[in-house]
Amino acid sequence: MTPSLPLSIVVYDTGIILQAALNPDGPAERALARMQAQTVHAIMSNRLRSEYEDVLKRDTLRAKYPILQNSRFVDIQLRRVDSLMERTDNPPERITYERDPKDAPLINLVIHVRADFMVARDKHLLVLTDDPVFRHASPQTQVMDPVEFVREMERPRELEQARAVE
Amino acid sequence: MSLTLELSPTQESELQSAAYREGIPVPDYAHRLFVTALRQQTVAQSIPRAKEKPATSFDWEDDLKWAQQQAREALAASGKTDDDIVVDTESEVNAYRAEVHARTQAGRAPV
Repeated sequence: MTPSLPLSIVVYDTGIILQAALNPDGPAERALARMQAQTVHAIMSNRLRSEYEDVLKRDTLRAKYPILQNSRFVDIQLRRVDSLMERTDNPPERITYERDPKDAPLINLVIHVRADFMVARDKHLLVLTDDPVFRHASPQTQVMDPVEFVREMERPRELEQARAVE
Repeated sequence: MSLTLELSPTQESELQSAAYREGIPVPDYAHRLFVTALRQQTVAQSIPRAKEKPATSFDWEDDLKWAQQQAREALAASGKTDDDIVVDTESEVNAYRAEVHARTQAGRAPV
């Protein structure tokens, strides 16, 4: 019997949670569904969990997307992350991230939990891979948009399938 | 001994509203809440716990299917694309983080 590999540790940026909720056929949902398939180990901090909730309930976003005014709809999104993500204490501040300091709490979580992946679409986060301070603090982390992430997650399966054909 | 609470804007606003309702300064109210919670936890730990229902994913997965169908219908009716959603949501997340960051910098977050 082949020993199973440890699950990849993933942190999902808040935008991904919102995009998955608003477009269940889009790439963000496909990335988030990986945690439902139990192929990743998703982690959020207490602070990130509050952010998920606060942004889902923001008046400006509700005005643009009236479905967010439905409390049952929002509650289901939160129950989903509560059921599938490990929740951890807020991490210590390791870096301040001068390029965009307001993203530092999320980046420090990624560093603290030694995430293999951060899934995001924010351009300030996607360039983290080339940031020397971040690379030094979290060399194993790959920052990907949801399309790349899903492709990366499917790669081992493709390899296994190719081996099976051989 | 001092205690610092890190609260989201919603939690901070709820705490302030509750303190104002009680007519108690916010720090005193937060302290009272903390002590009450500690006492309740001590009492709860002394009571033998009933066997908890095992967590199942069944309940919310059915709800999720309903929510996704609602979202599909809303999206089709709105005429928005996934790109529109990305622009709108990333902008909201950035605005939210800017507000939280500004509050933290101003030293308003700790209670």
